[in-house]
Amino acid sequence: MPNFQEFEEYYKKHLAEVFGYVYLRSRQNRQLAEDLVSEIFLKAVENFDQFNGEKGPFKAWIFRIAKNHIIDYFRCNKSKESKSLEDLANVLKDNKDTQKIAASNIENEMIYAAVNELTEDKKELIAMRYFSGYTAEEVAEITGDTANNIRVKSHRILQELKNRLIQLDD
Amino acid sequence: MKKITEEKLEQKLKTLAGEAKPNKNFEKALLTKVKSQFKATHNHSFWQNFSNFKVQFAGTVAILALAITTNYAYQNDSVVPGKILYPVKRGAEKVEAIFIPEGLPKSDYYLDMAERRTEELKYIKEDAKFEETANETRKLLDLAKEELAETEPAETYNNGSTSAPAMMMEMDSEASLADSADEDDYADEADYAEEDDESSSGTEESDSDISDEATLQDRIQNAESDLEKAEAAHKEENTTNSPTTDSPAPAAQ
Repeated sequence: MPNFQEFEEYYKKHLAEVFGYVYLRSRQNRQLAEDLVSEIFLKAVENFDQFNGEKGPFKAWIFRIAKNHIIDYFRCNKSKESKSLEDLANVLKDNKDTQKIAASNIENEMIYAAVNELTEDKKELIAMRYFSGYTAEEVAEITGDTANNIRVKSHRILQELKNRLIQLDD
Repeated sequence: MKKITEEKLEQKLKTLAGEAKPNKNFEKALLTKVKSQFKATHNHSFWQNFSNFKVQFAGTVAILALAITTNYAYQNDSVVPGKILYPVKRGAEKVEAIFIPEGLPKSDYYLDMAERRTEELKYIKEDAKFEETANETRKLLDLAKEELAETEPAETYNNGSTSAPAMMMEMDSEASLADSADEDDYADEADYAEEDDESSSGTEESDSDISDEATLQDRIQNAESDLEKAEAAHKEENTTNSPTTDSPAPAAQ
C-alpha cells in the first residue's frame, strides 16, 4: 500500500526541479508549464504503487514520466509550439522600439530562442543541467548515461548555443 | 553577444533558471490536488478493492464451479445417459484418456470404462438407454478381452498404433452408433488390436506381467458378472413396475 507521506516528501524535494525542466521544455510558457507539471504529478501519484525505489531513484522515475508526457503533449498540440529563432529575429528587426527594450531582456530572449532551436535531447540536457540544477552525475543517474559523457555533451551544446547566438547577433 | 564566453553563457542560463521556479500558490494548490488524487487512487475500502477485482473474482468462481461440476459428474455413477451432466462426464473421460500414463495396457483402460458403464447401469431406468449402455459395456469388455489375449502385456497406449485420445474419439463414435446396437461398432478397435499384435510379437512375458494379466482376467469376469446382474435386476424391476404388460388391460377386456 503506497504511503502519501513518502510521496509528499518526494513532491517537496523534486517539484522545483521538475518545474524547471518542464518550463524550458514547454518553451518558457509558465501557464503551460504549470498545467503540464500538474498532470505529471497527478500521473505520478496515480502510479505511485508501481514505483520501486530499488530499481532507481524517484527523480529518474518522475523525469521519465515528465519526458513522455511532454512528448505526448507536443505530438498532440503541434500548432501550440512557440516561435522559432527566425521568427524572433524578424520580430527584433521589425520592432521600431527595440532600443527601448532593455538590453538584458533582448539577450534573454535570444538565449531562449537559441535553446528552443536545439534538438529535443540537447534541450533535455540543458533543462536538467541548468533549469533543474542537477550535476553531471545526477543527470547521468536519471538518463543512464555516464557523468563524463554528460559533461562532454554539455560542453558541445554550450558551444553550439554560443555559435547560434553569434549568428543571431550578425 | 559576439563576445559571450561559455562560462558567461552558463552563468546566463543559471540566471534564467531563476525565473523557472514554481510559485508558492501553485505548489500548495497542486499538493492539495495530488493528495485528493492519492486518496481516490490508493485509499480504497474493502468493497472498493473488491469491485476492482470483480471480473477476476467472477472468473475464478466460474472456473471453480466448472471444476466442481465436472468432478461431480466424473465421480458420480448416478450421472447416466439422459442426465444433463452426462456429456460433461464423457468429456472428462476424454481428458482422462489424454493424460493416461505411459505403461498402462489398453485392456486396463477398456476395463475401467466397462466398469464405469456397469456401475451406471444400476441407475438407468429407461429401457433404450439401458440397452445402449449395456451394449457399450459388452463391447468394451470384448475389446479388453481381445487386447488381453492378443497384445503383449507390456504394450502401452503410446507404442500402439492408436493413441489414448484417438481411442476416446472411437468411443465417441461408438456412443453415437449405439442406438443401432450394431455388433460391428468396435470392429475398428479390433482391427488395430490385430495390427498391434503384429508389431509387438516376439517379446516374452515376465512373472509380474502374467500376474497382471490374471488380475485383469478376474476383473473382466467380475465386470461380466456385474453386467449380467444389472441386466437381471433391470428386467426384474421392469416386471414388477409394469404388471399390465403381462395381463391384458381392463379396457381391452
